[in-house]
Amino acid sequence: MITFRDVHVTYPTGTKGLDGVSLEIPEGEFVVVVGLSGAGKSTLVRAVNGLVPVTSGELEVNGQRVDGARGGTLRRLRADVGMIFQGFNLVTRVSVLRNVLMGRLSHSPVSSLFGVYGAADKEIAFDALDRVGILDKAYVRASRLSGGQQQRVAIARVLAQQPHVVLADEPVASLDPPTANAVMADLRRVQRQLGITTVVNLHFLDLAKSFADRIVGMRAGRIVFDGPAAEVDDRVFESIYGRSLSVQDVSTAEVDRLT
Amino acid sequence: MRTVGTRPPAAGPVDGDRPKRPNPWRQVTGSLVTAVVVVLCVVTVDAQWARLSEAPGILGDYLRLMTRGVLQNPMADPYTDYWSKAFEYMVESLQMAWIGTLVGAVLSFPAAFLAARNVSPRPVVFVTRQVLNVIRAIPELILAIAIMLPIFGLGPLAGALALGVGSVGTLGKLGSEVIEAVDPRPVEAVAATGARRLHVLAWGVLPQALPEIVALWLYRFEINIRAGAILGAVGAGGIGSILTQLFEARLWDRIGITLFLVIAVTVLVDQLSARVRHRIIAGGGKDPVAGEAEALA
Repeated sequence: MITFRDVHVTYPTGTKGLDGVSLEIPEGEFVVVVGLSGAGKSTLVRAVNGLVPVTSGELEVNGQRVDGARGGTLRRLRADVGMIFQGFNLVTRVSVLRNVLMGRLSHSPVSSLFGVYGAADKEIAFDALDRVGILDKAYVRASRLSGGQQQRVAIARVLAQQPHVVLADEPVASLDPPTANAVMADLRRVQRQLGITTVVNLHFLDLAKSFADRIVGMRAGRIVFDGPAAEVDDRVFESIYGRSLSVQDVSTAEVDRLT
Repeated sequence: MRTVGTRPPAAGPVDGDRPKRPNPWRQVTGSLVTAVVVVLCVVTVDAQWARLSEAPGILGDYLRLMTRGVLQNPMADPYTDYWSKAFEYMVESLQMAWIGTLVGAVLSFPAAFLAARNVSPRPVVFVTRQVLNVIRAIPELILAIAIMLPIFGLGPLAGALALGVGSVGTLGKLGSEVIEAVDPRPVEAVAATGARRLHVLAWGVLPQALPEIVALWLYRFEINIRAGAILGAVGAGGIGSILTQLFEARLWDRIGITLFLVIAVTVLVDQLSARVRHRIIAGGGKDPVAGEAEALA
């Protein structure tokens, strides 16, 4: 359960990220946030685990206040909220397994500082890799994997945290359309299996419609649409993007139609 | 493609149309000042420039004397003894350089983190950097004469420690630069898992920085071998100590043998170390991308 109550975020540069957002996301829901670049999608997602500090308003995750949380409180909160990034953000010089085990750092004793993990932690990591279908890559250096595989490792790293909430900031924007579809399908499948509350930012409206329970449209730091994926039509699209739908807005558009 | 062809043709030179060359007075004065400084230095320095012309001849004599030593049968007395003595001292020099590098690596490792802006708070960074600056400003030779020799007495321990402390300055500074150049995104990802600060450093920062840092250690080892040879001249052990004695006695054939060994061993270790460094930075095995490029070539 994630609750925003009139949340404002203003960056040190004066840019407004969020401008009075109120939103309630119940347990186990898969929400996709859409909007133009700079609409505040990233800010919305990054506020949930405190990567971006809230300027005013209240933000709660599973009953725990995020605004104002620091030190140990913030760390415990982050341990329960996994995050997936556009650029995968793996440590590419170490193995896939080591990357996934980083999801266990907040749960394991000091020995993990030196890469020593218990058998239980390792089993959790292997299970996470198995769920995204790349168990066989466990001992491969992360730099050797393709983009789609790297993002699956990042999903496994999040699963290893055994979180109640997962955030994904443009998780497939660096991938080609078929791979983007496959990675989204993986994310959606494990989300259903484990019942994790998930908030995802997406560029492409067709991906959003085919995977989301609910779509939130943002424009200039405000929520301009909030409803089930089925309700999104061309009129809603115009209200979010300020123009009508074109071929550039769907991931499956063929190249020759764009040129 | 309507935009192409709508641009009007270039109008040709109309007065005031073309940009004028900016006034070059800055470059001209700069060059003039440099020239004056060079001439002044050549004139005022108390050097006997005339002797420069005699230098090739003198150098030739010494070289002939030295090569004579190297070319003698090393199995015959007393040359066997000369070679083994020189070798013994060269090994001591290598040991000094190795211990010095180890000391420098261990001490500079935490210093590099403390001096990195993306890891430590500003006041800590400032203080650590100033300490490193001071260390870097002192040559190993002064460290040995003024600090290590009075404390540890004549011998290789003083030399090794002088090299070690001297290494901290450069290794700490360069190490902090490597740490600052680390990709911040994986670090953010590790922090987002709720890991403690030390864990974020150990698993987000260190794996990215360590290969370059180890390569710096090896590079410093190469430098320490050469620096160590000089330290012997002030009695801090190693090949330099025997060289000074030989120079005082003007034993040219033995000097030749010793210098030959210094050069041979230094070049060998340099080559080895450079290879290991490249291997560490490039990483083991082939990258898929690099492999592909090779296949295409």
